[in-house]
Amino acid sequence: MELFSEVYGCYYAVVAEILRSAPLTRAQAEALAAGRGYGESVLQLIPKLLDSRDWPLLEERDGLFHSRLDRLPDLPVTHLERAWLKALLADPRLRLFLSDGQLARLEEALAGVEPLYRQEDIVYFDRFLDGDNYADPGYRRRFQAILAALADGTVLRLTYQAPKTGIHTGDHRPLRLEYSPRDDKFRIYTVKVQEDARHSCHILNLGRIVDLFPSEARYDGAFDVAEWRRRHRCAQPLLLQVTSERNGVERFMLEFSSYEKQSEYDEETGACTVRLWYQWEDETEVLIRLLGFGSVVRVLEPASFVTLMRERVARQAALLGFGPKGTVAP
Amino acid sequence: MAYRELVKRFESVREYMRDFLVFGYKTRREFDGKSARTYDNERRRIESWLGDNLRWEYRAKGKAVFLSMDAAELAHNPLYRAWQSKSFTDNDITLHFCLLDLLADGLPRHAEEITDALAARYGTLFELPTVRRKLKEYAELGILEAQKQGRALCYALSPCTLDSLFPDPARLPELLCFFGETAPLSVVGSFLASRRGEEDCKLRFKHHFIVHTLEDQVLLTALEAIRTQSRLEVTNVSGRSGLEQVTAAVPVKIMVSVQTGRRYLAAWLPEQRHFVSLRLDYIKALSLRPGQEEDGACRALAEERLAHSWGSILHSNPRLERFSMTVAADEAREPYIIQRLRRESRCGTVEQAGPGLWRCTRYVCDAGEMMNWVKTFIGRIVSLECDNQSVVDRFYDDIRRMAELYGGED
Repeated sequence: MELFSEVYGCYYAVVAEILRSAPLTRAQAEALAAGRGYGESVLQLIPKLLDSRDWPLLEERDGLFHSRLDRLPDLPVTHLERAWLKALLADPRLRLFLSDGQLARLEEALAGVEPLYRQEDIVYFDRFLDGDNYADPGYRRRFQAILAALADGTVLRLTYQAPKTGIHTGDHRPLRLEYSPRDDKFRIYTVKVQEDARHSCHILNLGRIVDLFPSEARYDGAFDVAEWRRRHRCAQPLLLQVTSERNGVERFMLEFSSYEKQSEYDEETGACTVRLWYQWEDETEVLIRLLGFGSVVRVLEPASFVTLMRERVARQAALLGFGPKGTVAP
Repeated sequence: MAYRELVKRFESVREYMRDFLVFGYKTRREFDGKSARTYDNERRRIESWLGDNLRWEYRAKGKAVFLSMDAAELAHNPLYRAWQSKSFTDNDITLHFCLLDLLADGLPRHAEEITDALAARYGTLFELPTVRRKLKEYAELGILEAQKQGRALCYALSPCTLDSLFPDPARLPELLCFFGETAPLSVVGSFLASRRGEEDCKLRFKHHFIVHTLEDQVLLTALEAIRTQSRLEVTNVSGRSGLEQVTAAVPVKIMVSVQTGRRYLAAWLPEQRHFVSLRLDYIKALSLRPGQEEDGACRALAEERLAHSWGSILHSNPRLERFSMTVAADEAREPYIIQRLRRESRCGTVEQAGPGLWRCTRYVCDAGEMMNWVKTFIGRIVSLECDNQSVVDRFYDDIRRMAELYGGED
């Protein structure tokens, strides 16, 4: 099977949208191409569709472009897509999104379809083992209530088991659901609705939400999670030196490819200088991941982070009986 | 040839996109073996697909183009845009829309009837063989259903739509958004989602390797080979030497590291008689070959070896090494350290070795593979024991070098 096919393509999608929106003006067609197409689609697609006879799908009358088609249907779900959906049926997370009725309908409709892949053929060998329990009916109920609240903008009364401070109950409006494939866990960003209007952003693990109910509280404010995250980003990026020893540059660049970063390679030394931005809440995680690279990565700035690295290394050297600068103590 | 936004082969942009995203430091002249014109066209194309996500900076050696983004802020993987860039002919697109429109009534028609109707209804003349080819192609894709009526082969539009699969569409956007980022071959989910227009379902992803999608065709073929018990002919490019090698392999598993972002095809090499793990991003091409009866034995062996693998490598040698690490952790104040040992030691045995001391023991084929993980406990490691002393020595050496790096001066 081939993934790279024009039937899934951007131009086909833009043309379908223009045909469904017809009759329309040139400006409207260009706006659709600019919105859904690529950066230069207005220049490359529109002339083919409107100005030439290359794609005779529209005709111009009275300054408007009319579709020459009668009833353009939705593109049927292809064999590739059916096989992919069939493979999802074996994924325990699918039932978080669907009701039993929807699942039964999908299973029936896809009976006889070969799955595109089998779960057992893929091994996630370093995934954390304490992931969320998707088989728990209570977890599923809470997950679906949170999905509904995300879509509707409603507030939920959540009872949460905090790891250090125990049980808390409060009114929260879910704003964003976040999944980590490494942790195999979901978290939600919420705004906690308080009577004194001092609303605050919280990040809660779904696995620690013990119970939830609809709340009568309302929050119609425009809390912006992206902006909140920007404000909680490190004030100064890490400045790192990554050496090419043990393929270090390639390993580092791939492992940290999900972070915002800028890099420069020095051919003479074979080392790479990287500026890396991270969220404050992830500081310990970034620290231990950098430690995992050993001497391949050296933190140069900021001083506060260098101190964190130095303290851990010094503590370790002391535990192993090394003297200053790595000499073995007598 | 004039510049176009669309491309014939995905391979032509795969390497550029990976370099822009993962490395981000190469300048125009550092793209070995590519002409300046090719580089300029590919950069312009990728810029056109990705818009503001593609950034650039002037450096000492020239203009460096890079993709820098916080993946946790992305609602959709922007690299999927590359999968939507396949070029086509004028006939392809015209036939596509006219055929869908003509067959929307659900009635089956044979090729001649369709060719005549296209001319009558849309005023477009197509050669019969052209129409036949497109009908056959669309039947293979599943867009059309082919059915025999007497001696004639008739085609009708497939009734399988998102609406028929999900008559109750509640949470369908969220489902497609979630699995369209996290499931294997997730780009297929994005194809389905694009029928409904892009929606922001307020789902985001942490520790998310968007670059993986560039290997999705390789992954698809590899998974098909595993499922159908076929062999593969693998064209692999060495990450270090750049040398290309063609190998016959029995694929057994896809090994995914959710921490490092590396993904591998684990396979048995029948000629060399050992397992190998090949990085998916270094595989240039895969083609299916018939499986052999004896391949079943190496699949069974792979399952056996998997139980004692730490990382991506399935070892051919059954000898196991005992590795044990003792860390200092106050169980009352630092329970998260003990929790880390339990969740991250990949089914290792975790036990208390004394007050404030916790030991993790694991039997593995190669303890050396564990060291990156071990080093994440730097500052707490009280002792390491291993049947293979060189592994422990390497750790000591690394700590010595780190102590030199951070040896006190700023």
